[in-house]
Amino acid sequence: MRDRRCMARGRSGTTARMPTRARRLAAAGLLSLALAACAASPTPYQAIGEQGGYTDQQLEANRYRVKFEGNSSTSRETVEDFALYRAAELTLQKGHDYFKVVSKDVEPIVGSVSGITPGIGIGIGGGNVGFGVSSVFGSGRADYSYVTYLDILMFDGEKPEDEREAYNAFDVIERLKPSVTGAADAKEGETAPAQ
Amino acid sequence: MLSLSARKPRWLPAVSLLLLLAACAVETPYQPSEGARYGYSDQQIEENRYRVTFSGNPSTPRETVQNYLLYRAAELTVQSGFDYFTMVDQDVERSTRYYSQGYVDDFGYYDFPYRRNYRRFYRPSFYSTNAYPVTEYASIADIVMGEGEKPADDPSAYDALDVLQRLQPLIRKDEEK
Repeated sequence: MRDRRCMARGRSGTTARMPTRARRLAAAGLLSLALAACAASPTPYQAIGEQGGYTDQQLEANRYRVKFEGNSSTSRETVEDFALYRAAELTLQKGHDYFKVVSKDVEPIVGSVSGITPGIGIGIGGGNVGFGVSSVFGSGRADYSYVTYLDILMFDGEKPEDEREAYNAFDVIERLKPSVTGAADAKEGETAPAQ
Repeated sequence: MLSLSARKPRWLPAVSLLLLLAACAVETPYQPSEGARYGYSDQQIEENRYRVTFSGNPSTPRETVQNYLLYRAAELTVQSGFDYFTMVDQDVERSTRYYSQGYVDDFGYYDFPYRRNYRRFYRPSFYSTNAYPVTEYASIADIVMGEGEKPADDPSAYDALDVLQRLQPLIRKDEEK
């Protein structure tokens, strides 16, 4: 009972019951672990939205830049596949048959890094003097995500056999379709006709 | 059991980060850098060869940096009396800095009455850190300019007028202050 009166001696004047706060902290820790374990679902094949997606920009009459942005749950391969698929789709949409990849870049994006270092404090002292010991071991994690950029040129007719950078748009769509539609419902009616 | 705690407000890191971002929250406009850090600059290397650079501040997305570089290359080509340019060498440079914020999440102590005085015991605390990445992009290209029709078989050749026309709607110049 005597102890209770001492609560009035707070510097900040705020009082909080430790068990509650410790529980809240533990809950927050557990929650972030849980979030890390089952993070957001991978980016579906879609035009840019909250979870990422593709964007394209016309640079010249037959030159486009295609970008596909994945979230942290999307693998690099998927991001590359989707960018390539978008390039093929756009080529067909614009009435062309094959495209050349002029430049390609995959950029890993590191998100903010956050960590918690638990400290165990032991202190002795009186009045306003005291010292504590705390651990220097903590852990942090960062989210990675990938963005792919493709600069493409579109052409009509048969793709040149001897060019490694030339892709047959029909063929690409056909091959990648299973992974694209498997990962997402082909929405927005934007999927180009295969065959 | 009693407990008193002195803690930094949780919103402090967030607010200071916001202040930091607010300082440079506006995208770099399409403008010459003129010795400053952000904007475009070019250097003539040969009669028809230039090096063009565009540097964006942390609020400028990579695509914008790329678009402005391409636009500048086209503009320079037309200004120099040529019709097309060839990208000889292009590089995007990314520099990321981390702004780190650390704060004691829960740093409390107990004061126990002890011989007409108080004795203080610290209780477990958590030290939280957040590092926020701030990324800047700079695009650098060496271009060679040519006259007449651009060579159809060269994927690095750009029709300057065409590029100007396509990218025009994306160019944001700085309004007069």
